[in-house]
Amino acid sequence: MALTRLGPNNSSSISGINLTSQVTGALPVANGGTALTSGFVNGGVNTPSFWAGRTSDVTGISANTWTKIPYNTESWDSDGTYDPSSNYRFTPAVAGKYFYSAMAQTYPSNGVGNLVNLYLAIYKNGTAYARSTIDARDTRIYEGVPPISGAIELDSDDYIEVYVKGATNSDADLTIDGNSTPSQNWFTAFKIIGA
Amino acid sequence: MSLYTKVKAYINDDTKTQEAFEKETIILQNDSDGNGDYIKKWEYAEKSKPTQEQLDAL
Repeated sequence: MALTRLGPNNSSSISGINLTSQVTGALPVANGGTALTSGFVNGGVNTPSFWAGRTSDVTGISANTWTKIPYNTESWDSDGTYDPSSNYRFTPAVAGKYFYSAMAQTYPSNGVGNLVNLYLAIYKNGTAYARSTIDARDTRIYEGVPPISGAIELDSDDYIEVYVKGATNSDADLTIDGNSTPSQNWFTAFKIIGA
Repeated sequence: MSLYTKVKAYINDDTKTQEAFEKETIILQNDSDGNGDYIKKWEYAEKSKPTQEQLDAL
């Protein structure tokens, strides 16, 4: 079966037809199926999207206290909807379903204690939505990171944040290791196409 | 002294304190907004929520 390219690469029009606004309905595809033009021609975009990390350690996190992680540097922020300076939250402003992922490499601030447990949570509008856990109990660990990822539905004014909580055998404060090479801490999210 | 340390002293029982925080009948929180740690939830049945004066006295 021969394939024919109808227009130049990256062109949004073919012989005067604007593909982004004038083509609707369904396109026939091989084996008798169809594809909606809204997803086939117009495509979808994974934005809003952002990636935020840390430029330095986060110190003084009290034991057994859910503490918002101030991810304060961005690698990208497609729509400027992540706040890296005051609220440290993602408010995409576009309703939809979003993939999220977060990490926080954490250890006791006094350098000698051990973690008894460590939690990382995604908060939606100020309430815990999802949580990951390291529970060391009697086999304590010194440093850990409970990565968390998943999907969440957000309305136009919903927002998400990342909180951490941990306990140590000495009740010491916790520190999030701000070492950025290789990256150990991040908060990222993007809009899921077609969901 | 952190708020957690004060709450632990207020309950005055390490095992019950650990259980309360694991089961989250007590939740402490810090929103990284400069206002520090605070009690977000207190559903610990054996003792009422401490007042600020009681915490300050610890």
